Amino acid sequence: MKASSNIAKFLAISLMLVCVRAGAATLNAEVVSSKGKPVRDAVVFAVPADPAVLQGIQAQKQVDVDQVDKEFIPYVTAVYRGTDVNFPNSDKIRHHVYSFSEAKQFEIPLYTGAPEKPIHFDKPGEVALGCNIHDWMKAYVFVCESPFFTTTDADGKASLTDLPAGQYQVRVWHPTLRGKPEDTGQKVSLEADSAPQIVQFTIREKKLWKPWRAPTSTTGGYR
Amino acid sequence: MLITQGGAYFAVSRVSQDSARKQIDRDLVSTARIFRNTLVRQGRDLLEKARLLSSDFAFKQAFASRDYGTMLSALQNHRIRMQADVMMLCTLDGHILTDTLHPDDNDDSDGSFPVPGLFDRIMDSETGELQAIGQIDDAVYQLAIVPLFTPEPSAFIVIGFLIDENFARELSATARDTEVSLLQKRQSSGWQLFATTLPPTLASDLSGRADISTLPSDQTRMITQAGQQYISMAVPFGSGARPGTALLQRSLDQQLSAYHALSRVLLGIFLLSLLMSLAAAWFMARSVVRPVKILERGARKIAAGDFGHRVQIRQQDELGQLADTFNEMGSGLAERDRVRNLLGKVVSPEIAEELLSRQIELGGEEREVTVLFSDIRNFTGLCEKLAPGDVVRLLNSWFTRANEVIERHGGVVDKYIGDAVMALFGAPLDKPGAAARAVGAGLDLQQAIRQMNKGLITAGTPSLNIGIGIHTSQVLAGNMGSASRLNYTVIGDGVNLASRLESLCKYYGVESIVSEDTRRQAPAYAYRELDRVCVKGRQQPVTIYQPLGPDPAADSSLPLYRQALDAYRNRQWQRAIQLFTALAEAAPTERLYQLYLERTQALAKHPPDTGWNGVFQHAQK
Repeated sequence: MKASSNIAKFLAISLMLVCVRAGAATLNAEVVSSKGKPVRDAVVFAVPADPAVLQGIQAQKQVDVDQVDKEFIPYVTAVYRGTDVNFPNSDKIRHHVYSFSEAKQFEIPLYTGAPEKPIHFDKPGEVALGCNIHDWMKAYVFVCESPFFTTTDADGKASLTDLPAGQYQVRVWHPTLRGKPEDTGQKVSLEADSAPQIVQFTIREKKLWKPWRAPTSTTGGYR
Repeated sequence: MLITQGGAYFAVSRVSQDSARKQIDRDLVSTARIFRNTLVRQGRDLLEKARLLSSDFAFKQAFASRDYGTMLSALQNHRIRMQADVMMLCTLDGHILTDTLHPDDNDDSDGSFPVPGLFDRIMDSETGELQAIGQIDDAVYQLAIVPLFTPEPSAFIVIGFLIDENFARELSATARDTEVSLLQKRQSSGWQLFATTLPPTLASDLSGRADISTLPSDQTRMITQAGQQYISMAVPFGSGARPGTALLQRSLDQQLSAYHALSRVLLGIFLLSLLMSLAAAWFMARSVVRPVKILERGARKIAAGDFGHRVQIRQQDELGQLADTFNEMGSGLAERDRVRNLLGKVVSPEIAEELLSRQIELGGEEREVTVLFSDIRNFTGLCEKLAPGDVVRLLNSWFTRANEVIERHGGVVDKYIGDAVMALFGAPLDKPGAAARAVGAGLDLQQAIRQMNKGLITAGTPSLNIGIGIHTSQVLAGNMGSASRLNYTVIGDGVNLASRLESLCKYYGVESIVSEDTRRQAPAYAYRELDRVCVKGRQQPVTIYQPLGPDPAADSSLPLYRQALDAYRNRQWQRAIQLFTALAEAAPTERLYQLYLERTQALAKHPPDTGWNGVFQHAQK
């Protein structure tokens, strides 16, 4: 819920930013798995063919990826490049957030509460987050090269509104996506004030094994 | 006993075999379980050891650095810490990044993972983790593969334990005497032995065998290797293209060695008891069969009448006692025989038979018996003239003859009474014609004494005269006496009369007198009526006769004598005197005629009263 409210906020801000432009368009996306099931937490983003569109669009000031009950929340956080992401720790115990991903390698050694400073994500791509203390804790920050992004809901659906008219390549990313988001691109030509366009994605998934979360009782042990 | 022993030996042997076989089966099943458990436990162990590295943050950092040298040394470090035999790091698509077996190749990351098919299986798995048996560089490993999470799965950590001779030895050590051989299926040459606890000769025998693959899983089978019988069980392990088989084997001979020892003991016992049985049999033959044969021989001799035969068995047991009893029996029989002989001498053979053949009891039966008494005249006077030894000899000589005569006529000598002989005819055996035989015997006795006297006269010994009395009557015949000492004899009035008749011989000057009862039953002989008498102690008058012989016309004077006797009976005294005188003159030696003459003359002088019936009263005994 928090993730969707963030998105709403973000969309509202974006709207304010682009409202100067006339003729906004809406894009409805639907993401399903290869088995036809809706894919949640997929990041759908539209990369404008004309980079000039992006001029003047600023990244959000700050986004939070919380840690509650030894889980990251939200699971997937999409950000425009140049966004600072905070990793507040809402648990009473310490966490040790790290990433070895190409897009961003960082480490916030054992800490409680809010870290001293947020992490700045400026390179597009996926950033897999882990906790050195809790193997199962995992989340993603997806750094988009475009400010026009959204994430799918439980029905695998998402909408991009107020897109400036023009040519776009609409891409999708998901933790289970096999291959690169660039390979998922669909060209879309948006005209101002036209009816919402629909983009469908079928994801080729990869196995995404997870470390098994230990039961909360101490007697369970590590598997 | 031997059959029992032998049976026990074979039964124990068989039970031992069965028991050994079952024991081995049980042990092999147990070893198979241990083997499987070991693999399971070790697999789990490997997984955990791999996971440890997978979640090692430093290693993740090292991996993120892409510094293979560091990764290799981290792998080596972990391998040593975990006492594993191999560690590898592979890409998600199965290329070796670095590998402790080939530390120098680590920069070249093109090497494919050596266990084919493994990565496909991982991709299908839910967790990205896998256990497997795999072959690397001709060695067989138990492997565990887990993803390296950074925190996404970004590589595979492979860890492995070598399955080799040590493994086989350790498994073998958990089950004493179980041989462990590990084989793997190779495409080219079928099953290849890669580890074994068997000695090399047996191992090489095993390696080329085709029948290993035909062994059913988890079932014991007997296979023969280099002449030794092995109970074997194939336990498959691993999977995929190159599955493995653990061949668990126990030597039956070795297992049976304890039973062999027992079997030897049993055999020993068996042989010992065989010897003991033989000894016992020999001893039995000696102490039982031999004495029994001796006794049997003895019994035959006894049966043949050799009562003097004695058996000699010097044993203190029952057979010894039996031999003693046997000898006593022999003595008893000899004694009885002697008694019987003596009895035959003491009594007549018929009486002896009678005594021996039936239950001897006191009492008798009334029957008609002819009793013959024979006596030697003037025996007392004779004794005075002769030495006692001569008397006995003379007497015995006579008795022998007399006995012979009596027996010839079917009579029996009942007893000798001093110089007298008492003989019975018609008892104890009721032979017909007893009276006639007695009369015949009496005549022959007279003949016999005459013959004997001829010898005596020539020897200068005084001749003997005998008197004979014969009477036939109903008497009581039987065993008389006391319970301990008795005689077969006859008693009764008739016996006394016979004795009286014998006494009368001297009076009438005849050698032999028979009663009218005897005469009536022996009509074939010629008789001379002697008198009609009443003997002492007897009221009944009896007519007495002198037997003359078989020829009735023997004496020509008999008709005259008859007339004379009739005249005497009819009180015709003068006529009687006349006739008797004539007779006496004709035969002056006949005392009878003289006797009647004198009696008639006396009666003529003093005639008796009218009640006189011609019966002469003998007051003398």
